[in-house]
Amino acid sequence: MDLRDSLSEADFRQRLRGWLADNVPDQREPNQLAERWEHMKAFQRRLYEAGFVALSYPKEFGGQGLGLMEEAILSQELARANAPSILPLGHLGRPFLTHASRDQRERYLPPLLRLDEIWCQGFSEPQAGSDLANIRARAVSEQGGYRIDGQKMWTSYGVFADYCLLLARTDPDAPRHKGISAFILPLDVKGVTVRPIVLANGDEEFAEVFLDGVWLGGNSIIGRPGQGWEIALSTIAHERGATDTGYLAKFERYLSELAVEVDRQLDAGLVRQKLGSVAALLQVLEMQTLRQLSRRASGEDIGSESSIDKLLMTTAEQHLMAVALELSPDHSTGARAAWFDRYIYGRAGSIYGGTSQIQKNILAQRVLGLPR
Amino acid sequence: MRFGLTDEQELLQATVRDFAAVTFDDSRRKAAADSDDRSRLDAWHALHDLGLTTMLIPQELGGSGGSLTDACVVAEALGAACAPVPYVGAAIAAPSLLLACGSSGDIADLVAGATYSVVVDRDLSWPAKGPALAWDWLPGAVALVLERGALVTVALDHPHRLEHSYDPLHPLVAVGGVVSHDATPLSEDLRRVLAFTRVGLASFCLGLASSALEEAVGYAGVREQYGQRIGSFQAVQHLCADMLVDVESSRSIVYGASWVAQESSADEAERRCAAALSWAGSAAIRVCESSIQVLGGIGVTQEHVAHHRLRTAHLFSSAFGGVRAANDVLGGHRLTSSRAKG
Repeated sequence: MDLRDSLSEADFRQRLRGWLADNVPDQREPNQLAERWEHMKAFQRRLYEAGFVALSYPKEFGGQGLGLMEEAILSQELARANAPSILPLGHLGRPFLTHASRDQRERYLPPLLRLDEIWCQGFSEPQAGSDLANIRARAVSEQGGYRIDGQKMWTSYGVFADYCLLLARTDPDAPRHKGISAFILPLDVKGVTVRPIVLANGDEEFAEVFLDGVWLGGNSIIGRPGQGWEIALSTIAHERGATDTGYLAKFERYLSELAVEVDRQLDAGLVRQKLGSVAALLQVLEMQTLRQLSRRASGEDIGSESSIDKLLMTTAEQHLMAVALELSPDHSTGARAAWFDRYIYGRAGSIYGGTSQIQKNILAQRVLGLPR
Repeated sequence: MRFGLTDEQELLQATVRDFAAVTFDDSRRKAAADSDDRSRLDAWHALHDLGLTTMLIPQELGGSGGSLTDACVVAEALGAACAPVPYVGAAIAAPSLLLACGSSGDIADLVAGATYSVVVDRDLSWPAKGPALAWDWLPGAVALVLERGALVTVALDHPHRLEHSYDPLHPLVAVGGVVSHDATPLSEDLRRVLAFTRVGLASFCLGLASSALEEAVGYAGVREQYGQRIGSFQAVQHLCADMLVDVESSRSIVYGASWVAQESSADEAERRCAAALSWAGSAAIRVCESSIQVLGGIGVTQEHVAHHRLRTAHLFSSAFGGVRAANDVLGGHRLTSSRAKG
């Protein structure tokens, strides 16, 4: 154990802390997604200009060429500074590093990381949710390219996006995990229709994407035909940690807001107990994240164990929201209504990115080795 | 930054686990549960001979000169064996307290093999505010009482073992004639003693939980019902997966806090170690309960270790103020800092 920063880590932390002290906006994050989106994007662009986004991506593709521990430091310092949420899109760049051609990397990665081009993930379908390998969107070889038909669902930030990392079936005769390929899909081409799905809190965070005879060139495929499943799994693995999603910072900010807004008529001892239990859990999430990143940084493959992080992150969010409803001011206030929206949104945490039940199957079978 | 045990700590963990697996078998636990103190004393002396009880005493004072993380690794391994020894009290809390405000004579005695038992309140908070208990008592132990910031030693000549304690493996003994600690806030040194103790308790809880999980998974992999192993049923799998999340997340906060407690400010030590006990204490109770559920009927029998684990998880997550005082500290910090900002 040595949680001290190395010299370069300490230098990085100091620069970052200084920048955050001058640049974190004061106002509370807007409640409506349309406004919140602009708020988050504006902050993240400034963060990028200052050199604090895409830390562990190579410099030549618009990253900072730093390590995973710097990602951990970023997450800690954003939390400490009560910074706005970051857009959880960084993981969509991962397949470009692992599977894309050099041309694709050079063309797509820098604007993706800079947020000049917004990406979304076209994985789930009406009949392929938890059972993701069941996808039916078809990509048929045609004129040196592919013709694509099908429907995608639960596409995060679909209405805001310019490009989609798309999974489609290229070989219907192959075993179901083997016949899937990954594509770069521009959302403004003929045959693509994006329709928002309005969530229970009013946010249009997700979308349906209809693909009706969409034609993509042969250079739109990422990796080889049939590598789609592998690409999907490695992308999802980067979506499960609290650092990947920036949620550690988000939850810390929520807890700070709650501590300010808490109903003063409640028993002080009860308030301390409830806030303390959330504060403890957020520290657990921070240490868990640090431990996993440290293992990854030293070359260990976390693999299926990332499901621990996803489950812990969901537990933290849902516990925080339950406590917020217990402690927030009376029912006539806008503050309580805002917490209720966050609470409703928190119910999605145990569904998206692989439901909690799927994560538990993974842990039981692949980590604990229980019989299938 | 590197988060993980060193090779030496991994070795220490394996060594203590092996030692504990042989030493703390069911028969010794049964003897301890029946208040046969000789069995606990023998085990304690064996730990002392291995140099494990003076881990926190520097080498120049005759101790083993380990780090707090080293001591926590030992506590975890002993917790995994549900060992009926006062390791957290006598090898983490007491030496920390003696180093903070004890006499050099007492430290020398501890190195020579004397046992010290820290005195807690009847509600197990610390320092005691009134009639008190010697925590995790062992025959011959000298009680350490904090009176107005000063440490007093009290010989326990006629120990009166508490009858109503639910954990026979870690007896509590009434201490007469004590105590009034005034309400002034703890000094920085004493806050650090409390932080060390909290993460020690959390480490033992982590050990209890990890062996409860291990046993449940092992059993679910062999026990058959309806013609198949029960571990193949999702209902059982999901219980085990929840236990795994609790165990691994506890491990993260316990290891992290054990390092921070020694290397950072008293405030930071307090914050991290309170989180460790809050989470690992509650998690251990959940995991020990679930383990009993997976084990089925045998898990609720007298002879099985499962109920002992659950008893100790409850006692340790209440000790030195336990989960409640830990949450109180953490919640209080958040309210204070929100007012400072507001």
